[in-house]
Amino acid sequence: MLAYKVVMVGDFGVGKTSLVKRFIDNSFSEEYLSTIGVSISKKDLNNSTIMLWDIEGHTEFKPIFKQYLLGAKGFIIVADITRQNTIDSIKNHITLCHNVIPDAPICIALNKNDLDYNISDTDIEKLSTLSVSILNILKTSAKDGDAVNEIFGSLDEFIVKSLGTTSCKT
Amino acid sequence: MQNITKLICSKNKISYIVFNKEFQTLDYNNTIENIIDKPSSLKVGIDVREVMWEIIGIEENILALLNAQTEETIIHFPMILKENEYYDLDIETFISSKGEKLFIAYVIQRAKESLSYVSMIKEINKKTLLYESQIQNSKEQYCDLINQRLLNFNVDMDGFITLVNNAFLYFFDLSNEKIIGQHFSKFFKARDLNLNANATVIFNAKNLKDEVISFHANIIPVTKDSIIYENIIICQDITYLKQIEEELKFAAGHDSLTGLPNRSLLLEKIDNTIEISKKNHTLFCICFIDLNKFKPVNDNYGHHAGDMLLKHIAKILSDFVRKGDIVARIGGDEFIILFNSLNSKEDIDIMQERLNHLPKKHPLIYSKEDLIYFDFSIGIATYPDDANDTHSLIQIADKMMYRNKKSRV
Repeated sequence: MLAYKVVMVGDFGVGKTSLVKRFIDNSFSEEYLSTIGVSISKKDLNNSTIMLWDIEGHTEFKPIFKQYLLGAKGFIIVADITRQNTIDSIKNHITLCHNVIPDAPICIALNKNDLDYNISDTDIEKLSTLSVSILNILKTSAKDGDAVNEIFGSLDEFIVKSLGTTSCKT
Repeated sequence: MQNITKLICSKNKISYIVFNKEFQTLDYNNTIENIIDKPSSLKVGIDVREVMWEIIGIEENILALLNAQTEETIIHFPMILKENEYYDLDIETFISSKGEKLFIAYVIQRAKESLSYVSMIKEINKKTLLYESQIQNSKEQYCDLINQRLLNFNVDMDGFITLVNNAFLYFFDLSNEKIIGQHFSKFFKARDLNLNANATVIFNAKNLKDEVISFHANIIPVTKDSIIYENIIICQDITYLKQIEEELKFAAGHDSLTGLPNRSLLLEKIDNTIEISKKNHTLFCICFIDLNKFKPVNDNYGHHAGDMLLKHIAKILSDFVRKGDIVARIGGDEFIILFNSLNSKEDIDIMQERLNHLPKKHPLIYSKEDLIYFDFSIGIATYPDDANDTHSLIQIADKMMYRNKKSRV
Protein backbone atom coordinates (compact mmCIF):
# COMPACT_ATOMS: atom_id res chain seq x y z
CA MET A 1 0.00 0.00 0.00
CA LEU A 2 1.21 3.52 -0.75
CA ALA A 3 2.39 5.35 2.33
CA TYR A 4 3.12 9.02 2.30
CA LYS A 5 3.58 11.98 4.62
CA VAL A 6 1.29 14.98 4.99
CA VAL A 7 2.08 17.86 7.35
CA MET A 8 -0.48 20.04 9.08
CA VAL A 9 0.76 23.63 9.06
CA GLY A 10 -0.74 26.72 10.65
CA ASP A 11 -0.65 29.20 13.49
CA PHE A 12 -1.12 27.94 17.00
CA GLY A 13 -4.66 27.38 18.24
CA VAL A 14 -6.26 27.05 14.80
CA GLY A 15 -7.36 23.46 15.38
CA LYS A 16 -4.76 21.34 13.57
CA THR A 17 -4.77 18.65 16.26
CA SER A 18 -8.57 18.72 16.43
CA LEU A 19 -8.83 18.16 12.68
CA VAL A 20 -6.41 15.22 12.92
CA LYS A 21 -8.35 13.74 15.85
CA ARG A 22 -11.65 14.11 13.99
CA PHE A 23 -10.13 12.46 10.89
CA ILE A 24 -8.25 9.67 12.66
CA ASP A 25 -10.71 8.55 15.33
CA ASN A 26 -13.75 10.78 14.78
CA SER A 27 -13.43 12.46 18.16
CA PHE A 28 -13.34 16.04 19.44
CA SER A 29 -12.45 17.78 22.69
CA GLU A 30 -13.35 21.35 23.66
CA GLU A 31 -10.20 21.58 25.75
CA TYR A 32 -7.32 23.37 24.11
CA LEU A 33 -4.01 21.56 24.50
CA SER A 34 -1.26 23.23 22.57
CA THR A 35 0.87 20.84 20.52
CA ILE A 36 4.57 21.09 21.23
CA GLY A 37 7.00 19.39 18.85
CA VAL A 38 5.27 16.90 16.60
CA SER A 39 2.82 14.07 16.91
CA ILE A 40 2.59 11.52 14.10
CA SER A 41 -0.61 9.62 13.33
CA LYS A 42 -1.38 6.99 10.77
CA LYS A 43 -4.58 6.37 8.87
CA ASP A 44 -5.21 3.61 6.37
CA LEU A 45 -7.37 4.74 3.48
CA ASN A 46 -8.67 2.72 0.51
CA ASN A 47 -5.50 2.68 -1.55
CA SER A 48 -3.01 4.38 0.67
CA THR A 49 -1.70 5.03 4.14
CA ILE A 50 -1.43 8.61 5.22
CA MET A 51 1.13 9.63 7.86
CA LEU A 52 -0.09 12.85 9.41
CA TRP A 53 2.49 15.10 11.04
CA ASP A 54 0.67 17.35 13.45
CA ILE A 55 3.31 19.93 14.19
CA GLU A 56 3.62 22.76 16.67
CA GLY A 57 1.83 25.86 15.43
CA HIS A 58 3.53 29.04 14.46
CA THR A 59 3.56 31.71 17.17
CA GLU A 60 4.87 35.24 17.26
CA PHE A 61 7.93 34.05 19.14
CA LYS A 62 8.51 30.63 17.62
CA PRO A 63 8.62 29.88 13.90
CA ILE A 64 7.70 26.50 12.46
CA PHE A 65 10.60 24.06 12.52
CA LYS A 66 11.30 23.49 8.82
CA GLN A 67 12.83 20.06 9.32
CA TYR A 68 9.40 18.61 10.17
CA LEU A 69 8.22 19.40 6.64
CA LEU A 70 10.93 17.27 5.06
CA GLY A 71 9.64 14.58 2.71
CA ALA A 72 5.99 15.68 2.80
CA LYS A 73 3.92 14.83 -0.25
CA GLY A 74 1.31 17.41 0.61
CA PHE A 75 0.29 20.00 3.17
CA ILE A 76 -2.88 21.00 4.91
CA ILE A 77 -2.61 24.62 5.93
CA VAL A 78 -5.07 25.38 8.69
CA ALA A 79 -6.40 28.80 9.73
CA ASP A 80 -9.03 29.79 12.25
CA ILE A 81 -11.90 31.32 10.26
CA THR A 82 -12.75 33.56 13.24
CA ARG A 83 -9.20 34.98 13.59
CA GLN A 84 -8.15 37.15 10.65
CA ASN A 85 -4.47 37.11 11.68
CA THR A 86 -4.35 33.32 11.20
CA ILE A 87 -5.86 33.74 7.71
CA ASP A 88 -3.30 36.44 6.92
CA SER A 89 -0.55 33.96 7.87
CA ILE A 90 -1.58 31.49 5.15
CA LYS A 91 0.61 33.27 2.60
CA ASN A 92 3.74 32.80 4.77
CA HIS A 93 2.88 29.18 5.44
CA ILE A 94 2.62 28.49 1.71
CA THR A 95 6.04 30.08 1.16
CA LEU A 96 7.53 27.96 3.95
CA CYS A 97 6.02 24.72 2.58
CA HIS A 98 7.24 25.44 -0.93
CA ASN A 99 10.72 26.37 0.30
CA VAL A 100 11.02 22.84 1.66
CA ILE A 101 8.96 20.95 -0.97
CA PRO A 102 8.53 23.06 -4.12
CA ASP A 103 5.11 22.74 -5.80
CA ALA A 104 3.73 20.34 -3.19
CA PRO A 105 -0.07 20.26 -3.24
CA ILE A 106 -1.79 22.28 -0.56
CA CYS A 107 -5.29 22.18 0.86
CA ILE A 108 -6.47 25.08 3.00
CA ALA A 109 -8.79 24.41 5.92
CA LEU A 110 -10.60 27.43 7.32
CA ASN A 111 -11.46 25.76 10.57
CA LYS A 112 -13.99 26.55 13.36
CA ASN A 113 -16.72 27.03 10.79
CA ASP A 114 -19.22 26.27 13.58
CA LEU A 115 -18.49 29.68 15.16
CA ASP A 116 -19.54 33.15 13.95
CA TYR A 117 -17.11 34.69 11.49
CA ASN A 118 -16.88 37.77 9.32
CA ILE A 119 -14.81 36.73 6.31
CA SER A 120 -16.80 36.94 3.07
CA ASP A 121 -16.88 34.26 0.36
CA THR A 122 -15.15 36.69 -1.98
CA ASP A 123 -12.22 37.06 0.42
CA ILE A 124 -12.05 33.28 0.74
CA GLU A 125 -11.94 32.91 -3.03
CA LYS A 126 -9.09 35.41 -3.16
CA LEU A 127 -6.96 33.01 -1.11
CA SER A 128 -6.84 30.63 -4.06
CA THR A 129 -4.71 33.16 -5.95
CA LEU A 130 -1.91 32.77 -3.41
CA SER A 131 -0.53 29.67 -5.15
CA VAL A 132 -1.29 27.46 -8.12
CA SER A 133 -0.57 24.47 -5.87
CA ILE A 134 -3.70 25.07 -3.84
CA LEU A 135 -6.07 22.19 -4.53
CA ASN A 136 -9.01 23.53 -2.56
CA ILE A 137 -10.10 25.79 0.26
CA LEU A 138 -12.72 24.37 2.57
CA LYS A 139 -14.53 25.74 5.56
CA THR A 140 -14.13 22.98 8.13
CA SER A 141 -15.31 22.27 11.64
CA ALA A 142 -13.44 19.72 13.69
CA LYS A 143 -16.25 20.09 16.22
CA ASP A 144 -19.10 19.20 13.85
CA GLY A 145 -16.99 17.23 11.40
CA ASP A 146 -17.88 19.55 8.50
CA ALA A 147 -15.68 18.95 5.43
CA VAL A 148 -13.01 17.14 7.48
CA ASN A 149 -13.06 13.90 5.50
CA GLU A 150 -13.42 15.88 2.28
CA ILE A 151 -10.24 17.87 2.81
CA PHE A 152 -8.10 14.85 3.70
CA GLY A 153 -9.83 12.78 1.02
CA SER A 154 -9.20 15.30 -1.75
CA LEU A 155 -5.52 15.61 -0.85
CA ASP A 156 -5.20 11.83 -0.69
CA GLU A 157 -6.84 11.42 -4.09
CA PHE A 158 -4.48 13.94 -5.65
CA ILE A 159 -1.35 12.47 -4.06
CA VAL A 160 -2.25 8.87 -4.85
CA LYS A 161 -2.90 9.84 -8.46
CA SER A 162 0.36 11.75 -8.77
CA LEU A 163 2.49 9.16 -6.97
CA GLY A 164 1.06 6.20 -8.79
CA THR A 165 3.10 3.16 -7.93
CA THR A 166 6.38 4.99 -7.68
CA SER A 167 6.13 5.62 -3.97
CA CYS A 168 7.55 3.50 -1.23
CA LYS A 169 5.56 0.56 0.02
CA THR A 170 5.39 -0.54 3.60
CA MET B 1 27.84 -2.11 14.93
CA GLN B 2 30.74 -1.35 17.23
CA ASN B 3 30.41 -2.75 20.72
CA ILE B 4 31.58 0.53 22.13
CA THR B 5 28.63 2.34 20.53
CA LYS B 6 26.22 -0.22 21.99
CA LEU B 7 27.77 0.34 25.36
CA ILE B 8 27.47 4.11 25.16
CA CYS B 9 23.82 3.81 24.07
CA SER B 10 23.02 1.47 26.89
CA LYS B 11 24.72 3.65 29.47
CA ASN B 12 22.96 6.81 28.30
CA LYS B 13 19.55 5.17 27.78
CA ILE B 14 19.66 5.84 24.08
CA SER B 15 17.60 3.52 21.90
CA TYR B 16 18.75 2.75 18.42
CA ILE B 17 17.89 0.82 15.31
CA VAL B 18 20.25 0.04 12.44
CA PHE B 19 19.11 -0.34 8.85
CA ASN B 20 20.59 -0.51 5.38
CA LYS B 21 19.87 1.40 2.20
CA GLU B 22 16.98 -0.97 1.40
CA PHE B 23 15.52 0.12 4.77
CA GLN B 24 15.88 -3.39 6.15
CA THR B 25 16.32 -3.58 9.90
CA LEU B 26 19.70 -5.07 10.80
CA ASP B 27 20.07 -4.47 14.50
CA TYR B 28 18.42 -2.70 17.44
CA ASN B 29 18.57 -2.60 21.21
CA ASN B 30 15.76 -3.68 23.49
CA THR B 31 14.76 -0.24 24.72
CA ILE B 32 13.65 0.75 21.21
CA GLU B 33 10.60 -1.48 21.67
CA ASN B 34 9.16 1.03 24.15
CA ILE B 35 9.30 3.79 21.60
CA ILE B 36 8.52 2.41 18.16
CA ASP B 37 5.06 2.35 16.64
CA LYS B 38 4.49 -1.39 16.22
CA PRO B 39 6.77 -3.21 18.67
CA SER B 40 5.29 -6.66 17.96
CA SER B 41 6.48 -6.46 14.36
CA LEU B 42 10.04 -5.62 15.26
CA LYS B 43 12.58 -8.19 14.10
CA VAL B 44 15.72 -8.22 12.04
CA GLY B 45 14.96 -8.09 8.34
CA ILE B 46 11.68 -6.12 8.44
CA ASP B 47 11.24 -2.78 6.70
CA VAL B 48 12.23 -0.19 9.29
CA ARG B 49 9.40 2.10 8.11
CA GLU B 50 6.87 -0.36 9.52
CA VAL B 51 8.00 0.46 13.03
CA MET B 52 9.37 3.97 12.57
CA TRP B 53 6.74 6.11 10.86
CA GLU B 54 9.08 9.10 10.98
CA ILE B 55 11.11 7.61 8.15
CA ILE B 56 8.20 7.48 5.70
CA GLY B 57 8.61 10.30 3.22
CA ILE B 58 12.24 11.10 3.98
CA GLU B 59 13.79 8.10 2.25
CA GLU B 60 15.47 10.30 -0.35
CA ASN B 61 16.93 12.53 2.33
CA ILE B 62 18.29 9.50 4.15
CA LEU B 63 19.85 8.02 1.01
CA ALA B 64 21.36 11.41 0.28
CA LEU B 65 23.32 11.11 3.55
CA LEU B 66 24.77 7.87 2.27
CA ASN B 67 25.76 9.22 -1.09
CA ALA B 68 27.19 12.41 0.39
CA GLN B 69 24.82 14.37 -1.91
CA THR B 70 24.06 16.79 0.84
CA GLU B 71 26.00 18.91 3.26
CA GLU B 72 23.88 17.51 6.06
CA THR B 73 25.45 14.60 7.89
CA ILE B 74 22.51 13.99 10.15
CA ILE B 75 18.71 14.24 9.98
CA HIS B 76 17.35 15.59 13.21
CA PHE B 77 13.72 15.59 14.37
CA PRO B 78 13.35 17.05 17.84
CA MET B 79 10.42 16.72 20.22
CA ILE B 80 8.47 13.80 18.80
CA LEU B 81 5.53 13.07 21.06
CA LYS B 82 4.81 9.42 21.83
CA GLU B 83 2.69 8.18 24.71
CA ASN B 84 3.10 11.48 26.59
CA GLU B 85 6.88 11.36 26.34
CA TYR B 86 9.07 13.44 24.08
CA TYR B 87 11.90 12.02 22.01
CA ASP B 88 14.52 13.34 19.64
CA LEU B 89 15.31 11.30 16.56
CA ASP B 90 18.70 11.51 14.87
CA ILE B 91 19.48 9.53 11.74
CA GLU B 92 23.07 9.31 10.54
CA THR B 93 25.44 6.97 8.73
CA PHE B 94 28.23 4.79 9.99
CA ILE B 95 30.54 2.14 8.54
CA SER B 96 30.08 -1.37 9.86
CA SER B 97 32.90 -3.72 10.81
CA LYS B 98 32.42 -5.30 7.38
CA GLY B 99 33.04 -1.91 5.75
CA GLU B 100 29.41 -1.44 4.72
CA LYS B 101 27.81 2.03 4.98
CA LEU B 102 24.68 1.73 7.10
CA PHE B 103 22.22 3.98 8.90
CA ILE B 104 21.56 4.29 12.58
CA ALA B 105 18.53 6.00 14.05
CA TYR B 106 19.06 7.16 17.63
CA VAL B 107 15.98 7.83 19.70
CA ILE B 108 16.76 9.87 22.77
CA GLN B 109 14.18 10.50 25.44
CA ARG B 110 13.91 14.14 26.47
CA ALA B 111 15.01 15.07 29.96
CA LYS B 112 12.38 16.02 32.50
CA GLU B 113 13.55 19.65 32.35
CA SER B 114 12.36 19.70 28.74
CA LEU B 115 8.94 18.56 29.83
CA SER B 116 8.56 21.43 32.25
CA TYR B 117 9.53 23.71 29.36
CA VAL B 118 6.80 22.05 27.26
CA SER B 119 4.24 22.66 30.00
CA MET B 120 5.28 26.27 30.21
CA ILE B 121 4.96 26.81 26.43
CA LYS B 122 1.55 25.08 26.46
CA GLU B 123 0.39 27.39 29.22
CA ILE B 124 1.67 30.47 27.37
CA ASN B 125 -0.10 29.38 24.16
CA LYS B 126 -3.33 28.74 26.05
CA LYS B 127 -3.23 32.18 27.67
CA THR B 128 -2.32 33.89 24.40
CA LEU B 129 -5.25 32.24 22.65
CA LEU B 130 -7.60 33.29 25.44
CA TYR B 131 -6.24 36.84 25.33
CA GLU B 132 -6.64 36.99 21.53
CA SER B 133 -10.22 35.73 21.71
CA GLN B 134 -11.03 38.33 24.38
CA ILE B 135 -9.64 41.10 22.17
CA GLN B 136 -11.61 39.69 19.24
CA ASN B 137 -14.80 39.60 21.33
CA SER B 138 -14.37 43.16 22.55
CA LYS B 139 -13.70 44.30 18.95
CA GLU B 140 -16.88 42.55 17.84
CA GLN B 141 -18.88 44.10 20.65
CA TYR B 142 -17.52 47.53 19.72
CA CYS B 143 -18.40 46.90 16.08
CA ASP B 144 -21.85 45.69 17.09
CA LEU B 145 -22.48 48.92 18.96
CA ILE B 146 -21.58 51.00 15.92
CA ASN B 147 -23.39 48.66 13.57
CA GLN B 148 -26.61 49.05 15.50
CA ARG B 149 -26.54 52.80 15.05
CA LEU B 150 -24.74 53.89 11.90
CA LEU B 151 -25.26 52.54 8.39
CA ASN B 152 -23.32 54.14 5.54
CA PHE B 153 -23.77 53.65 1.84
CA ASN B 154 -22.95 55.44 -1.39
CA VAL B 155 -25.41 55.80 -4.27
CA ASP B 156 -24.92 57.10 -7.78
CA MET B 157 -27.09 59.91 -9.10
CA ASP B 158 -29.85 57.42 -9.99
CA GLY B 159 -29.97 55.95 -6.49
CA PHE B 160 -28.10 52.73 -7.23
CA ILE B 161 -25.82 51.57 -4.43
CA THR B 162 -22.09 51.68 -5.19
CA LEU B 163 -20.57 51.09 -1.74
CA VAL B 164 -21.76 49.97 1.71
CA ASN B 165 -20.09 49.73 5.11
CA ASN B 166 -19.98 46.68 7.37
CA ALA B 167 -22.89 48.07 9.40
CA PHE B 168 -25.06 47.84 6.28
CA LEU B 169 -24.01 44.22 5.59
CA TYR B 170 -24.54 43.37 9.24
CA PHE B 171 -28.00 44.97 9.41
CA PHE B 172 -29.39 43.20 6.34
CA ASP B 173 -27.20 40.09 6.74
CA LEU B 174 -26.29 40.19 3.08
CA SER B 175 -23.01 40.04 1.19
CA ASN B 176 -21.66 42.93 -0.87
CA GLU B 177 -22.57 41.17 -4.11
CA LYS B 178 -26.26 41.11 -3.22
CA ILE B 179 -26.33 44.83 -2.41
CA ILE B 180 -24.02 46.65 -4.81
CA GLY B 181 -25.86 47.70 -7.96
CA GLN B 182 -29.30 47.51 -6.34
CA HIS B 183 -31.50 50.57 -5.96
CA PHE B 184 -31.47 51.82 -2.37
CA SER B 185 -35.30 51.73 -2.26
CA LYS B 186 -35.07 47.94 -2.25
CA PHE B 187 -33.73 48.21 1.29
CA PHE B 188 -35.28 51.43 2.62
CA LYS B 189 -38.77 52.86 2.48
CA ALA B 190 -39.12 56.63 2.50
CA ARG B 191 -41.85 59.16 1.86
CA ASP B 192 -39.63 60.89 -0.67
CA LEU B 193 -37.29 58.76 -2.73
CA ASN B 194 -35.50 61.75 -4.24
CA LEU B 195 -32.15 62.15 -2.57
CA ASN B 196 -31.45 65.85 -2.54
CA ALA B 197 -27.91 66.79 -1.64
CA ASN B 198 -27.36 67.99 1.92
CA ALA B 199 -30.95 67.10 2.83
CA THR B 200 -32.05 64.85 5.67
CA VAL B 201 -34.74 62.20 5.28
CA ILE B 202 -36.33 59.51 7.41
CA PHE B 203 -35.87 55.95 6.16
CA ASN B 204 -37.57 52.82 7.46
CA ALA B 205 -36.09 49.37 7.08
CA LYS B 206 -36.89 45.96 8.48
CA ASN B 207 -34.18 44.29 10.55
CA LEU B 208 -33.56 40.55 10.78
CA LYS B 209 -36.19 40.24 13.51
CA ASP B 210 -38.69 41.81 11.09
CA GLU B 211 -38.94 44.94 13.25
CA VAL B 212 -39.27 48.28 11.49
CA ILE B 213 -36.27 50.44 12.31
CA SER B 214 -36.36 54.16 11.59
CA PHE B 215 -33.24 55.95 10.42
CA HIS B 216 -32.41 59.60 10.22
CA ALA B 217 -30.43 59.86 6.97
CA ASN B 218 -27.96 62.59 6.07
CA ILE B 219 -27.20 62.95 2.38
CA ILE B 220 -23.69 64.17 1.66
CA PRO B 221 -22.80 64.91 -1.97
CA VAL B 222 -19.46 63.79 -3.40
CA THR B 223 -18.20 66.18 -6.05
CA LYS B 224 -15.53 66.26 -8.71
CA ASP B 225 -14.83 69.53 -10.51
CA SER B 226 -17.88 70.98 -8.77
CA ILE B 227 -20.13 68.31 -10.24
CA ILE B 228 -21.94 65.94 -7.93
CA TYR B 229 -21.43 62.39 -9.09
CA GLU B 230 -22.38 60.41 -6.01
CA ASN B 231 -24.07 60.77 -2.62
CA ILE B 232 -22.92 59.34 0.68
CA ILE B 233 -25.82 58.47 2.94
CA ILE B 234 -25.28 58.14 6.66
CA CYS B 235 -28.19 56.57 8.51
CA GLN B 236 -28.61 56.78 12.26
CA ASP B 237 -31.06 54.53 14.07
CA ILE B 238 -33.70 56.77 15.67
CA THR B 239 -36.17 54.06 16.64
CA TYR B 240 -35.66 55.06 20.27
CA LEU B 241 -37.03 58.55 19.44
CA LYS B 242 -40.20 56.96 18.11
CA GLN B 243 -40.49 54.94 21.29
CA ILE B 244 -40.12 58.13 23.37
CA GLU B 245 -42.80 59.77 21.23
CA GLU B 246 -45.14 56.85 21.87
CA GLU B 247 -44.40 56.97 25.60
CA LEU B 248 -45.17 60.70 25.71
CA LYS B 249 -48.37 60.16 23.76
CA PHE B 250 -49.43 57.47 26.21
CA ALA B 251 -48.50 59.62 29.24
CA ALA B 252 -50.57 62.55 27.90
CA GLY B 253 -53.72 60.43 27.85
CA HIS B 254 -53.25 58.28 30.95
CA ASP B 255 -53.15 58.57 34.69
CA SER B 256 -49.65 57.89 36.00
CA LEU B 257 -50.80 56.13 39.20
CA THR B 258 -53.36 53.67 37.85
CA GLY B 259 -52.44 53.60 34.15
CA LEU B 260 -56.10 54.24 33.31
CA PRO B 261 -57.14 56.78 30.65
CA ASN B 262 -57.35 60.30 32.15
CA ARG B 263 -60.06 62.95 31.76
CA SER B 264 -58.68 64.27 28.49
CA LEU B 265 -58.61 60.86 26.78
CA LEU B 266 -62.00 59.95 28.25
CA LEU B 267 -63.60 63.11 26.78
CA GLU B 268 -62.19 62.14 23.39
CA LYS B 269 -63.59 58.62 23.74
CA ILE B 270 -67.05 59.85 24.77
CA ASP B 271 -67.10 62.25 21.80
CA ASN B 272 -66.27 59.35 19.48
CA THR B 273 -68.90 57.13 21.10
CA ILE B 274 -71.55 59.81 20.63
CA GLU B 275 -70.70 60.00 16.93
CA ILE B 276 -70.96 56.22 16.53
CA SER B 277 -74.18 56.00 18.57
CA LYS B 278 -75.74 58.76 16.50
CA LYS B 279 -75.04 56.83 13.34
CA ASN B 280 -76.09 53.44 14.67
CA HIS B 281 -78.91 54.65 16.93
CA THR B 282 -77.44 52.79 19.88
CA LEU B 283 -77.56 53.39 23.59
CA PHE B 284 -74.63 53.95 25.95
CA CYS B 285 -74.12 55.28 29.44
CA ILE B 286 -71.47 56.78 31.59
CA CYS B 287 -71.12 55.83 35.21
CA PHE B 288 -69.61 58.35 37.62
CA ILE B 289 -67.93 56.68 40.64
CA ASP B 290 -66.70 58.51 43.71
CA LEU B 291 -65.10 56.83 46.71
CA ASN B 292 -66.82 57.33 50.04
CA LYS B 293 -64.69 58.28 53.00
CA PHE B 294 -61.42 58.14 51.13
CA LYS B 295 -59.82 60.80 53.32
CA PRO B 296 -59.88 58.61 56.48
CA VAL B 297 -57.96 55.91 54.56
CA ASN B 298 -55.15 58.39 53.93
CA ASP B 299 -55.33 59.69 57.49
CA ASN B 300 -55.38 56.27 59.18
CA TYR B 301 -53.06 54.23 56.96
CA GLY B 302 -51.03 56.91 55.18
CA HIS B 303 -50.90 58.14 51.59
CA HIS B 304 -49.26 54.97 50.35
CA ALA B 305 -52.32 52.98 51.44
CA GLY B 306 -54.51 55.59 49.70
CA ASP B 307 -52.56 55.13 46.47
CA MET B 308 -52.76 51.36 46.78
CA LEU B 309 -56.51 51.59 47.25
CA LEU B 310 -56.91 53.70 44.09
CA LYS B 311 -54.82 51.20 42.13
CA HIS B 312 -56.85 48.36 43.60
CA ILE B 313 -60.15 50.00 42.55
CA ALA B 314 -58.75 50.68 39.07
CA LYS B 315 -57.96 46.96 38.79
CA ILE B 316 -61.32 45.64 39.99
CA LEU B 317 -63.22 48.09 37.78
CA SER B 318 -61.10 47.13 34.76
CA ASP B 319 -61.77 43.45 35.51
CA PHE B 320 -65.47 44.17 35.89
CA VAL B 321 -66.14 45.92 32.56
CA ARG B 322 -66.60 44.28 29.18
CA LYS B 323 -64.10 44.46 26.35
CA GLY B 324 -64.71 47.79 24.63
CA ASP B 325 -65.88 49.60 27.75
CA ILE B 326 -63.55 52.24 29.18
CA VAL B 327 -62.57 52.90 32.78
CA ALA B 328 -60.98 56.29 33.41
CA ARG B 329 -59.68 58.10 36.49
CA ILE B 330 -60.69 61.74 36.19
CA GLY B 331 -59.62 63.14 39.55
CA GLY B 332 -58.42 62.24 43.07
CA ASP B 333 -60.90 59.52 43.98
CA GLU B 334 -63.25 59.87 40.98
CA PHE B 335 -63.61 57.31 38.20
CA ILE B 336 -65.87 57.17 35.17
CA ILE B 337 -66.88 54.06 33.27
CA LEU B 338 -68.04 54.39 29.70
CA PHE B 339 -70.37 51.46 28.97
CA ASN B 340 -70.59 51.09 25.21
CA SER B 341 -73.48 49.73 23.13
CA LEU B 342 -76.15 48.75 25.65
CA ASN B 343 -79.26 46.94 24.53
CA SER B 344 -81.75 48.39 26.98
CA LYS B 345 -82.16 50.37 30.18
CA GLU B 346 -82.57 47.07 32.04
CA ASP B 347 -78.94 46.32 31.20
CA ILE B 348 -77.99 49.53 32.99
CA ASP B 349 -79.91 48.53 36.13
CA ILE B 350 -78.30 45.07 36.22
CA MET B 351 -74.86 46.55 35.73
CA GLN B 352 -75.44 49.14 38.48
CA GLU B 353 -76.59 46.43 40.88
CA ARG B 354 -73.45 44.37 40.25
CA LEU B 355 -71.22 47.40 40.52
CA ASN B 356 -72.65 48.24 43.96
CA HIS B 357 -71.63 44.79 45.23
CA LEU B 358 -68.00 45.03 44.07
CA PRO B 359 -66.51 46.83 47.15
CA LYS B 360 -67.85 44.25 49.61
CA LYS B 361 -66.44 41.41 47.53
CA HIS B 362 -62.99 42.93 47.03
CA PRO B 363 -61.59 44.76 50.07
CA LEU B 364 -57.94 45.79 49.77
CA ILE B 365 -55.56 43.42 51.53
CA TYR B 366 -53.01 46.08 52.45
CA SER B 367 -50.95 43.88 54.77
CA LYS B 368 -51.39 40.68 56.79
CA GLU B 369 -52.98 42.72 59.55
CA ASP B 370 -54.72 45.43 57.52
CA LEU B 371 -57.78 44.72 55.42
CA ILE B 372 -59.11 48.02 54.07
CA TYR B 373 -62.82 48.08 53.29
CA PHE B 374 -64.13 50.73 50.99
CA ASP B 375 -67.35 51.88 49.39
CA PHE B 376 -68.30 54.14 46.52
CA SER B 377 -71.27 56.12 45.23
CA ILE B 378 -72.50 55.83 41.68
CA GLY B 379 -74.29 58.20 39.30
CA ILE B 380 -75.39 57.23 35.80
CA ALA B 381 -76.26 59.28 32.71
CA THR B 382 -77.57 57.67 29.55
CA TYR B 383 -77.18 58.74 25.95
CA PRO B 384 -79.43 59.90 24.31
CA ASP B 385 -82.16 59.94 27.01
CA ASP B 386 -80.36 62.12 29.61
CA ALA B 387 -78.21 64.24 27.30
CA ASN B 388 -76.59 64.09 23.88
CA ASP B 389 -73.24 65.82 24.49
CA THR B 390 -70.22 64.84 26.54
CA HIS B 391 -70.16 67.72 28.95
CA SER B 392 -73.86 67.37 29.89
CA LEU B 393 -73.62 63.60 30.27
CA ILE B 394 -70.75 63.95 32.78
CA GLN B 395 -72.51 66.74 34.64
CA ILE B 396 -75.71 64.70 34.98
CA ALA B 397 -73.84 61.57 36.09
CA ASP B 398 -71.95 63.67 38.65
CA LYS B 399 -75.20 65.10 40.03
CA MET B 400 -76.73 61.63 40.24
CA MET B 401 -73.68 60.33 42.05
CA TYR B 402 -73.82 63.26 44.51
CA ARG B 403 -77.47 62.58 45.19
CA ASN B 404 -76.76 58.91 45.88
CA LYS B 405 -73.83 59.77 48.13
CA LYS B 406 -76.01 62.09 50.21
CA SER B 407 -78.63 59.43 50.67
CA ARG B 408 -75.96 56.92 51.81
CA VAL B 409 -73.81 59.02 54.13
